[in-house]
Amino acid sequence: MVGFVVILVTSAPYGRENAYGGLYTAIASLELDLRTVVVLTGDGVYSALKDQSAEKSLGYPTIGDLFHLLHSRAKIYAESSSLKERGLGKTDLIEFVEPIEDMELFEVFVKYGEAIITY
Amino acid sequence: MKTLTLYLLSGPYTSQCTDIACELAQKALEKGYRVNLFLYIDGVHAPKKGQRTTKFPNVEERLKKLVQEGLSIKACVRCASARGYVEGEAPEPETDTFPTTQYIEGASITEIYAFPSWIKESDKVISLGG
Repeated sequence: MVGFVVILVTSAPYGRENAYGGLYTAIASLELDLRTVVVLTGDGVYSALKDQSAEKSLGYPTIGDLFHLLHSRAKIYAESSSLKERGLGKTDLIEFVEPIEDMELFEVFVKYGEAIITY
Repeated sequence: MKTLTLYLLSGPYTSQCTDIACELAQKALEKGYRVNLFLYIDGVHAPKKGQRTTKFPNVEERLKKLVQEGLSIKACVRCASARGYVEGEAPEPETDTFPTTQYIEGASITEIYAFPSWIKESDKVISLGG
C-alpha cells in the first residue's frame, strides 16, 4: 500500500489551475497522514516566489499562502536547474522552500515516489 | 486483490488522457484489479450525461460500461462545483456525496479527501493530464 506521495508541480500558478490543485491535494494528503513531499520544477518554481499578491492584481487567491499551510508537515523543494534557467535563486523564494539539485531530487523520487502526482 | 487508482486532471476530447485512463481501467479490471478513477480540475467533465460525439469515442458510454464492470468514479467537489455540477450545499448524509443529476450512475462527487484515502488503499497510482 502507498504511504508516501510526491506532488510534482510543473505548471506556473495563475495561468492554469494545476499548481493550486497540487497544493490542495498535498494538504488533503497530509490530513490523511500520507507522508507528502512537494517538488516544484519547470515553470512550477514560480509558485514559490515570495511577495506575491494575486488578490490585488488578478482577483485570485495567492498561491504562496498554501505553502504556509504545508511547510510544517511537508518538505517543499524547488529544482535548482529550473530556478537557474529562469534567473531565480533561493533569495527569491518563500523562506522555507528549499532548492534541490538534480541528483538529490532523484533520491527523493526513489525514497518517496510510491505515488507521483503531476500537475 | 490489488488496487489501481487513476487520477485524471484533463477533460475529455481536449487530449487523449481520458481515453488512456479508460483503456488502463479496462485492462486492469480484466486482470482482476480493483480500479478507482478520481477526477480533478477539468477531469470532472468526464462522467457528464448526454455526450454526443461524431468522430471521437464517446467517453460517457465508455465510463458507463466500465462502471458496470466494477470501476469506481469520484470527482472533487471543489472542481465540480466550480463547473456547475453540484446541485446543493451539503453532502447527502447516507453517502457523504454531493447531489448531482448531471453524472452517469456510479459516478459521485466527494471531498478531495477521498483521493488520498484511495491512495492509501492502492498498490499503484497513475496520474494523467497534469
